[in-house]
Amino acid sequence: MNEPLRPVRIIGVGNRDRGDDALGPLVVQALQDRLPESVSAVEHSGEVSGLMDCLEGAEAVYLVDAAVMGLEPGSVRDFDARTKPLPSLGGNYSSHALGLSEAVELARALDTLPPVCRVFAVEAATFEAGEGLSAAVDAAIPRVAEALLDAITQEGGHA
Amino acid sequence: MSRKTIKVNYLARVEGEGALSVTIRDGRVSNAELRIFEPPRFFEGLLRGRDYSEAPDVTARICGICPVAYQMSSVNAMENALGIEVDGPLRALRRLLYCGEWIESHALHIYMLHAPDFLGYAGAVDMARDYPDVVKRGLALKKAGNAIMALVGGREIHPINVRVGGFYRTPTRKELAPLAETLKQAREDALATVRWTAGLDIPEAERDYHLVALHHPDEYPMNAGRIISNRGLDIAVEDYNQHFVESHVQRSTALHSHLREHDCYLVGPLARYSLNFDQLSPLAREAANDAGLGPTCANPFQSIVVRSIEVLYACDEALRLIEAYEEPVQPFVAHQPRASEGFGCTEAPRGLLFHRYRLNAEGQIQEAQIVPPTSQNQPSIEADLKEMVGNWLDLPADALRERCEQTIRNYDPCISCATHFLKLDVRHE
Repeated sequence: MNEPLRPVRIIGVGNRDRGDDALGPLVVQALQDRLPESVSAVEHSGEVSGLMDCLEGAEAVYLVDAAVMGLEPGSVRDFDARTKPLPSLGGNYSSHALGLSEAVELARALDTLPPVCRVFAVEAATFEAGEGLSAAVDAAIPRVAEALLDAITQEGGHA
Repeated sequence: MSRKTIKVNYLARVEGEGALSVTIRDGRVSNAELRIFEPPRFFEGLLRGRDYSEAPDVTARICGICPVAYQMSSVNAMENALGIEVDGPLRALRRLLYCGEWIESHALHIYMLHAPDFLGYAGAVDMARDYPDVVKRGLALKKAGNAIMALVGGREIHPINVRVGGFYRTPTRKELAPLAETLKQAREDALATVRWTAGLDIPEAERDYHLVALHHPDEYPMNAGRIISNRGLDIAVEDYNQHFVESHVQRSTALHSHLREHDCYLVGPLARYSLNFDQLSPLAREAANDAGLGPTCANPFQSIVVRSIEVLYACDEALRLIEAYEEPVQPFVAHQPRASEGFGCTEAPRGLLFHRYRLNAEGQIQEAQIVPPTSQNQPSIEADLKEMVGNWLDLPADALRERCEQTIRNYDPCISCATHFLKLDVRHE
């Protein structure tokens, strides 16, 4: 179907038609021409089993998603999922309430979590269908993209 | 009079958001209400003015768990309106695609959403720590279903390959061959799933349901058949609105469905199984017998076993369809729009899904009606709670709340599809 995923993966989770949930896909889009050859950048709906497939066999995975963490809209949090369990990111909007956090924690329970697994979560203002991004989340896209590039460069020398 | 209130802010592991309120007075359940507070989804309105050919892709977007069901009911309705018959390999491919959806949807519900209830876990993640191999088997099964969706439907979620009259592109026999290998393993996993679910500690609870499902003389129902019930209903899909009525209740933005003369009814795996046991494959019937299920089932908590039987059947059936597949000459049946009305009804994983469309001479949709299974089951969910909760009042508060949630999850409700959503409030008065 698609080409196989490379060892290092950036996964933008979200839905382009649900307000700030478009963040993940848009970060992936912003990075497409700026990545080294060892890195795949893909959009994903967040469906739990498909997301776990994306984690499997990777050297490093960087997940990007809009979240509800009780912060100011546009705030960015970077979680190292290898060192401690992910908090709930409030993503109970689809797929029978199983989402990014559950996929990562299931992978941990099943011992398929990659050696590097980081989650960049951005506080969303809206998940309304058909709405565009809020200004605060829109402004976060370049910051998250740069943070991802830095992380990839620092961890494993993939750049 | 004692009064106690147990509140849950939302009901987890159910698609969408919603709220349930159960009131217990003097040891009896005096009221059970599902309240719905997600804004209505105006799919029926959204479809008006669109071209008939857009319906399968628009309606596939209603649900991420059962998009094939929406596509199938909509294309069946359009083909009924346009007077065309989709037969032979194209019909078989649609059945294969539906098998994929049953496998992935049921596997998700059995392993990730429902099994934790029976084993006393808050969710799939906790369960996976103690039962890693079981959860891996569930994920592998779901993946096999997704593989069918991707190959026949064009992608795993919201498939894009179905069109009125057939498909945009049909697979070659060679392309289907590796899928058969995946499905052989899936069939083994499905058989293991039946045995495993049959061994769960399943509460004793039965209700005298009015069961409603499609029935087809030659096959377990997915895409075709008459609508029948265990109380003598036997009607063509076209006559749905003469027998079923939707009404608005104040607490819900979803419509509730009732039979005009028999009030609430049950659609979904229990109904399908009980009305179509003889249409199952020999392997599935044998597994059901071994699991201790009779030819009918009225315990909603056994729905997890019945779903497992349906997953096994779907794997078996998918393999049969692939084996018998002959590449069609044309991927679709040519047709012309005309002013007409069409009806379609198929068996979504959660039950009967009815669509009706009225088209003008140019093929523009003038009117659309979509009745999802969860909308039809809502009165039955309330009736289950009203009848069953009274037997569990000696359970500790947390256990009682969990049992109520489990009772709702028996239906694998897709509250989003029914416009829909949940929060649980058990009130002792």
